[in-house]
Amino acid sequence: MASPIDFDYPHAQPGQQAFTAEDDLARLLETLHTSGTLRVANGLLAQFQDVMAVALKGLNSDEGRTGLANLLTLVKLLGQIDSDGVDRFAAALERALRAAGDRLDESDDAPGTLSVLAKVRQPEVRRGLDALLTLVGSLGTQLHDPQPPVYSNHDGKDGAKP
Amino acid sequence: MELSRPGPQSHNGFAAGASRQPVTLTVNGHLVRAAEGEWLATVLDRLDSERGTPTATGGGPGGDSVPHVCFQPELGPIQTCDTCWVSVDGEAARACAVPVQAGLAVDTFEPETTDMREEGMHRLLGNHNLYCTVCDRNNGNCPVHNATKHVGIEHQRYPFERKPYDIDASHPFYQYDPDQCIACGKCVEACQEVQVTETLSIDWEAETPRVLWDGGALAGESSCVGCGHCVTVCPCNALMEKTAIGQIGHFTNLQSDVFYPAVDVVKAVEPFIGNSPIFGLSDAEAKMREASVQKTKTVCTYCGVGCSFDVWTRERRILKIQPEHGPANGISTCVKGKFGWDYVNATDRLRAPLIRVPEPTAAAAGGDGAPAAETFVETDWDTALETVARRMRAIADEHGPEAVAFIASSKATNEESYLVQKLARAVFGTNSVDNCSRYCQAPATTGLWRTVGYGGDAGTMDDIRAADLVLIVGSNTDQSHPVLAAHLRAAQKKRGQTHIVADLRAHVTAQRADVFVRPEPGTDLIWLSAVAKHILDQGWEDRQFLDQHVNHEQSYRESLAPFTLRFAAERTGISQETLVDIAWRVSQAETVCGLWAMGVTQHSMGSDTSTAISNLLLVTGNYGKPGTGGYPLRGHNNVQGCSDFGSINSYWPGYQKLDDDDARQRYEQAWGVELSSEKGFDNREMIDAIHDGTLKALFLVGEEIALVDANAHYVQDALSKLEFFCVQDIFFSKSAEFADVVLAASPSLEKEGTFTNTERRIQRLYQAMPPLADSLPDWQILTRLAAKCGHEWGYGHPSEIMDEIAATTPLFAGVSYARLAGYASQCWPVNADGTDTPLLYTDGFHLPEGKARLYALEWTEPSDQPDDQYPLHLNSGRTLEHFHVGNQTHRSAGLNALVPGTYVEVSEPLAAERGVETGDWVRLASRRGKVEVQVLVSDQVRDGELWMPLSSAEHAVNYLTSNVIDPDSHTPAYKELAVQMERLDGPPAGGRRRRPIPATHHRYGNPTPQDGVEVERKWARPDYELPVVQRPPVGYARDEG
Repeated sequence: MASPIDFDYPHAQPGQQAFTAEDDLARLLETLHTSGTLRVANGLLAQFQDVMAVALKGLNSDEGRTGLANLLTLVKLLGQIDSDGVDRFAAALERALRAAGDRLDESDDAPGTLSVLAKVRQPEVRRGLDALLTLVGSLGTQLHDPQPPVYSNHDGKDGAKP
Repeated sequence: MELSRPGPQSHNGFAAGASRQPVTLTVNGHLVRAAEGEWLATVLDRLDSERGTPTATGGGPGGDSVPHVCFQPELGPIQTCDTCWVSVDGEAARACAVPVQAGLAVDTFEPETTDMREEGMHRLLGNHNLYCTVCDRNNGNCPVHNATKHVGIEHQRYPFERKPYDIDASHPFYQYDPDQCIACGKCVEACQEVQVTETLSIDWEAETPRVLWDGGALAGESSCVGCGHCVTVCPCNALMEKTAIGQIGHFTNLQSDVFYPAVDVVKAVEPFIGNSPIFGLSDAEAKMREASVQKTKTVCTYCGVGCSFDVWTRERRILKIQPEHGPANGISTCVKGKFGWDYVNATDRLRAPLIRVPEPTAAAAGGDGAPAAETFVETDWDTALETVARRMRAIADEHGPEAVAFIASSKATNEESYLVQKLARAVFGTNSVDNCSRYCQAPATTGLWRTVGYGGDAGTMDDIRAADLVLIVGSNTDQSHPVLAAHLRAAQKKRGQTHIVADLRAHVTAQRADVFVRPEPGTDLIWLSAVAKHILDQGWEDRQFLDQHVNHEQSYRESLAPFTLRFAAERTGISQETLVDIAWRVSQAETVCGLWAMGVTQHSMGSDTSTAISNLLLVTGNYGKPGTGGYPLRGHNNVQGCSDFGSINSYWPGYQKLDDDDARQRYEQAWGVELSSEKGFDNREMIDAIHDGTLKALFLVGEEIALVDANAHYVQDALSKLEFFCVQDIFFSKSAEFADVVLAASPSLEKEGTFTNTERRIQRLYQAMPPLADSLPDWQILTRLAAKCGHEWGYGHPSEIMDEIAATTPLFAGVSYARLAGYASQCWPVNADGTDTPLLYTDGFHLPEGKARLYALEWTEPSDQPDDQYPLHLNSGRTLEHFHVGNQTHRSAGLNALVPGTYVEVSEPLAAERGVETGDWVRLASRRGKVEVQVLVSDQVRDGELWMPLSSAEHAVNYLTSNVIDPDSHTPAYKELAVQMERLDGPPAGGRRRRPIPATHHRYGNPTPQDGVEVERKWARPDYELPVVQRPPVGYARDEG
């Protein structure tokens, strides 16, 4: 003989507060899970061969290869430049651009030809022109006598994985 | 007899009038065999598939196949996308719309049509914001993605531009993004020609055509019934399940202020690097998804149609339902099957067994003589099962096996039904085992046993779809069996199938009928018999069939004498002219199927009225040939299988009678026990036996008996008298309130097994996710319980149970998991070699003499008739959105949004007479009890008649119903119910005053019927031309090399 019980079955609790390192870790894990980060990693690792095969198939067009090569070239070039020099150049360029901008703001009238030529007499202008002409000259030399490309034309026939 | 199994949407896979005979044609210079009338695109796809390579649309490089974004065989040719052009006999043609004929010469590499395909694809992309990597549709099977790749489009010829429409997210379950829509019209075709709700269309004459709901309403405020066909067939991400958006891809859950800039960056890069690298990235991401997104075939649990589909999951998250290969449903679903799965992860799912204990405070107080207050606490499985075993064993030992009884679940698997009856018979020695077919379908089974022999549908839904005429009696098919109803509408719309509907309510099935009659309640037997009599009187019967295949014609003829047209007209309210019309139509139709459901069976004459339908089919020769037969529409996913596999008090599994000594000895040998052949209690008898003290312990699996059995007061009173009551369920149900032990079971997605649908079709379901928390699949609970009782069954997998069934039960001799793998199915009887029987009675009837029997009938007055005190007839049934009392569907926010609660439908004149309006509360009182519900003024019910949904636990209609049963089947007369209606001044405690159904519900929508997508209107647009590149397109330098 059992009377009915108006029983309110407890609902599952969606989450717990973190009080311990283990709970913090659980929350981190949960965040990695809910953000999809773990799934990305799992997907990538579990399907690595297939993923790479598909990705490379897509990239392995003329345009894809060229785009990738250009990207890598730029990365390599940037890596070879002395960072102090780039820093000095960038700082000088930033100041120069600001000065040029200020100059533009000074007057609406275009300067005369003679006044522009007169600036060549200033040592800092001459220094700048010298740097630019050196850069242009060097480019001319390199273009006339190109160096080996920075990316490989390896055709994969020397025993490497096809 | 070998029968073809064309499949649910097969009529679309061939041209009208196709002979389907083998023919030979030439494809790219090779001779190829195909079926006459088959669409060429299908043949080309098959050539690739047979070579083991994916098709062009399926993501493969393509051999002979060509892309086809808008074509899929289930829909037939739509011809909107222009991506499948090929050369046929030297002329350009869309492969999707070319019916194969002998001798065709097909060239898929011909340059001009290759260019046309490319141009067609460019045009599609101009309509579609291509961002595959961050698209949830990018799963390797996106036709737009795959076709773009196949055609080799590196740079879009026509840049995409935003369209002047907003996203429509008004529907609870899906959203439409016009920017993504390529206006292919697949959704329209599916809505108009497969589902035939006729909600969707495309405004082809607009400057920027788009898909419209009801000609321009919001989706969520239209006639859309949420079947999901449109979402299923959408070839891109224009229509998507809300559960899938942002959940399938790794990078798709981005907020719009990140999402669109990311898309823009990629689009800015595309002109420089082309699509290939971008597609490479998206293909790689799609491949990564395979690590976390699981696709599992399962079978729906919401009605007897037996829809099967893939459920996409990520861990426990249900992403989407994708129907494609179901033998019963094809691409079809209803709103519950497509979207109503929230209950699986409901936070109030039972997570562990519960056991009844004294309240801690009460136990501490004690000693005052008053019964201690009790509660439930979670316990471990050993404790729970040992308690069940000990208590039930003790009761059986003390009072005999008749003191314990078992009720199996029509929602659980065949294997689990078999184990419940095995537990009852082999472990406790009782045949008191039954299932809920006692509440619904037992009368139909009785009617079929009497007349034709097998207690199951005579054929399959292929036959119903193929019939020239379908007679539907007492079935709210469009709400209770929605997918079958859709296919009936399609057969009616596409090829003129005739529908005769008899029902009290003017529901959608009735509204669309060619002939709709509304007999007085409880008089179906009269008009059915009168129609049969008139056919015989006029000599319209199938004389040859009767002479060759049917016995007892003379006694049947004599029994029909009272059923004159005049008497029938007077008593049923159907005019004599209409009865003659029905008789003429039924007798003259080449093939007739008779469908019926609870409107017939849940009467005190349920068995007799079911018999009358079968009699009529026999008189007109409508058994044993394709497109004919009697079809009681089973209401639960496995109510057929639950009886088939032995949970019935008078049969061993496979309907072998208890007094069949051969059968008994077979099970005794298999189970290693002695078995009783004494008939046990059925469900109704169990309740009576509890009241009279004979039955003292009950084991209930997955049924809400406290609310679904008739006269709930009487039933609940009985449950409270049990000495021991165990409930096994997935939720803490009303019945569980009376339990001593509650066992936490797992729903279908968490286990393997088989279901048998209304067609007698056995289908496998696979485990999509592990059982929640500490719940267990029913078959494991039953196996462990048997072990606690000293019976080591040792099952490690449900397939082992099925193997045991096949070895002992002739009806299932050839059933095996191997033969049911994937989407394969078998319709019983299944021979030992695995051949099955989709259509019964092709070689005689399943009765001793091999002939059918016409069964003499008498009509008696229904019970519980209206009188002065209870003047209204109350009918009840299902709604489309909710199943049964709603234990599952009321846990879906979306379904609840569509139909939040229960109500009573009242005709406008009656509402005016009583001074009630929609939303008012009324008290319905019967001779047994009362409920308080809201009014819904409706044009679907007549004066003097009310209708109420079953889907309420709080205001269950069975607080009103009676103990009257059909004497032949013991099914309660739920539909014989007189009530009084009293207006309440306001809502009862806890009730709210709001519309019981939102004004935006689909029943108030305005469909826009048309013939499919109407592509001719697209072709008539001034800016449409065949996709021939006649000029250099803007922004695109054509590579002439």
